Amino acid sequence: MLVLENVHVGYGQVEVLRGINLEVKAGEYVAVIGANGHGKTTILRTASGLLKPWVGKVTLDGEDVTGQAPYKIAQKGLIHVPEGARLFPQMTVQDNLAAGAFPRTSWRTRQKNLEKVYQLFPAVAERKGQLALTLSGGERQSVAIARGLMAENVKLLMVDEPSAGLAPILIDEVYKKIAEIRKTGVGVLIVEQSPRRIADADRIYLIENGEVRMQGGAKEVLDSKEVMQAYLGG
Amino acid sequence: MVDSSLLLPPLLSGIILGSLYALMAMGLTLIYSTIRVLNFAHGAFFMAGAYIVWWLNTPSSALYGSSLPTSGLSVPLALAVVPAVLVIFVIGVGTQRFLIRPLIRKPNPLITTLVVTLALATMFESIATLIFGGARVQFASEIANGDIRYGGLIITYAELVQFAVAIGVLVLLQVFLKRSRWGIGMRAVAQDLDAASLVGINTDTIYLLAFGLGSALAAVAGFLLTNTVFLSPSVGATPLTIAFIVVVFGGIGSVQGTILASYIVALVQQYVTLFLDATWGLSFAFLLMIAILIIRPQGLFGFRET
Amino acid sequence: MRLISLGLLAVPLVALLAYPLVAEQGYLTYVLVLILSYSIIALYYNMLLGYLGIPFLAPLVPYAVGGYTVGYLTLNGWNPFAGLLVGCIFAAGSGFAFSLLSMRLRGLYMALYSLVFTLFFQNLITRQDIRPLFDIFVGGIGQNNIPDITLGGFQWRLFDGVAYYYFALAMLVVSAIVLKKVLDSRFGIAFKGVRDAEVYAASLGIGIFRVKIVAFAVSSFFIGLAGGLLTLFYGAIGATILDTSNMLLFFSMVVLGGLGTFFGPVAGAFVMVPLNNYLTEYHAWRFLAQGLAVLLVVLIFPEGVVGRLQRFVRGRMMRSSTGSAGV
Repeated sequence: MLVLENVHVGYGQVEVLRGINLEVKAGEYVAVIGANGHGKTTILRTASGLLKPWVGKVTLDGEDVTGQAPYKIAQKGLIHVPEGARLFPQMTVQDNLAAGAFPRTSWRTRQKNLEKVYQLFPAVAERKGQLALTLSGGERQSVAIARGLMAENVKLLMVDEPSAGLAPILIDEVYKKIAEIRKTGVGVLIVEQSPRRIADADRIYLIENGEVRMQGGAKEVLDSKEVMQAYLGG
Repeated sequence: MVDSSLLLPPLLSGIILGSLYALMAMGLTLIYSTIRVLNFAHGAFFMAGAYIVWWLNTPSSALYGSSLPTSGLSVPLALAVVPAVLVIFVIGVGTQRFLIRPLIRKPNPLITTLVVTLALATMFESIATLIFGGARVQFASEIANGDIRYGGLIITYAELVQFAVAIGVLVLLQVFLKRSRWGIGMRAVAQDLDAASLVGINTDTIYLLAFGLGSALAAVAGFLLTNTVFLSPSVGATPLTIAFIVVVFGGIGSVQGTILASYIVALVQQYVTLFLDATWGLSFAFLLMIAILIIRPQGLFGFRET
Repeated sequence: MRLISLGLLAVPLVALLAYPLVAEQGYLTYVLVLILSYSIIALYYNMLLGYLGIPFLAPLVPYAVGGYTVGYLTLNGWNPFAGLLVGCIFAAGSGFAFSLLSMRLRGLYMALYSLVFTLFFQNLITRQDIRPLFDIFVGGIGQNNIPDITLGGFQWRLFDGVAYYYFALAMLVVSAIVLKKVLDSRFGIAFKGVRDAEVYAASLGIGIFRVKIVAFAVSSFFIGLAGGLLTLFYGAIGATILDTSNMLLFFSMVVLGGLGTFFGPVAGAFVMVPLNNYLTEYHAWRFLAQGLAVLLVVLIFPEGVVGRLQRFVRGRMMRSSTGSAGV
């Protein structure tokens, strides 16, 4: 469904991704791992259109979306939940969710989706009248994912480091929710620094220095010596 | 010692004036908080909106014994406001599309957009001078006639209409921002541009809408304020200055700050006028702003930009 | 490289030096005096706007301070040159005071604050009811009949003010050399720190404060010099000098030429000042033309004409150097 072909991109003069090839099939659960500063977040930013590739191609369901504006890509069902949740701080939780339903088709069905999302995140429902800036880190992450799910046609949810800055018990909670979301047929692409949480992924990409160092089934990658090297700096 | 009954009229006129200031300044705030651009042509839009209403409303140029162009249509004021607001809305949208958008992602956007809107303001002023002449003109009638007297207090119906319309528009704007799809989108863009685009909010269209709406507010304020006084090509300068003071004072981009600061500035102006004279009103507003910024560089309710 | 640029500079300089000897004098000399004086303003306004990246909108204040001081002192029997020096010092003082009052402001707050400060200053000096202010600034009337500079019995305004012309040219050359020295000094290198602090909202250290204060004082000194010079040349100064239309002129010279380029603002002055003066009789049409010109140039060259030119030349040089390396 989402395909990145030979993507090169960077910031200013600095090249961060040097020819990334990556694919997520419909309904698949894929994880991207690697140490900090090796370009994991950049992969998501390029896929969602925040960065325009210098070279290479991004396709979504066979359609070339390279260089399209982020809102157009989002409206096609590719939802990027950015690092640090990035809620709208001065808006209530409910309004944050409403903003997630901005595209016309989503706006029509937002009541239905709101109920669905509240069912998935009962804790979010309790906080619906609060300003986003008053939420705790775990709540923020939940609202950010919920906001992404307010899109009517969400096909692939890309979540950037949902575990960042959270206590272990909250991380378990977030991953439980992600597992539930997968059951509804939505594909998931997760970026994580630590390989521990994503053992149940269908496939894993190991990123090093802006290149795919290794890819394959979860067990195969996680047990490989490349992963050991990547994390121990060997 | 000032008689205490003298203290009440400035309070009333301050509240009415403050509401008009809030209307004017809210346009700037809306544009700034969404697009991060300061529109120097806001005063020109104020003036242009007022002239359009005047042109539609004024029966014939014979009234002035001059050859100033009027439509001769004698459109009632309340009706003439509608096309004026629409025209300025469209001009605002055009400004964003053709002047601001090309500059905003280039180097020094703050300075280049300042120059461009300043140039636009100059052009508007000269166009108004070419069409209507440089002299002051007045509306044939005020928006309402008569007044209410209570004790020593006099409030004209025109002032009441000014107040009611200003408050009405501000309330409508709040409802729009809180409840409507585009309003929520606009707030989202103002608070986090990237996050907004990632949930499918069309940021380009939001920018156009914000600039159009903000400019339309200036047109409404322009008509309301000039209706009871006079109109000239440079009539937008003072309201623009006051709006700048209000916006900086309240904290650029803050809605509550803008409203509160509008009333404070208007009240200070009115009371200074009572105790000294009208020419000191603006000077004190300046001093107030200078003092506030020394204590709080981000204004009363502003956030530190990150 | 250095020789080439010196050579490029020598040509216009010689032309400017020789102009009064060969060409017909009159209105053109008048406009050239304005251009040369405004070039000084453009150079030093660019120092704040371009090199330091401070959106400062009150350059009219040091201009007026310089001008009014010279006018007042000369009207009271001072030697004009002594008055000019004092005017520059007062202008520098106004810049120094302003920078202290605005130390913590950034971005739009600085822009609006300085703009409102200008209007406040105008508001103050046009007051009729504060006696000492009125005595100095003469309210809305302004100072008039300021005595001309005379040297050895020669009235400077004679022969279309050709003496002012050479004086302004000399001052421009001195100003440009001083600016170049400042920019190349350790102090000038610190400008980049200020600009980054503006852009990235980094915490402002003491060092940055100091650089900003000195930069404000220096730039105000030279803007005040131009203000004083022109006041003597006109023999008058009034509060309309602080009008927003003048602000647009100051601002557009720098932006059109190119923020942060050395000669861009001077080029801007050579375009904008004639545009401003030759069209004076067309009143509203002039402002329309000026506004339109600024609008179009900024939209076509957001980095300024000279800025664009520099990028073009640099690009060509890089391409040719890589090309020759390949051979």
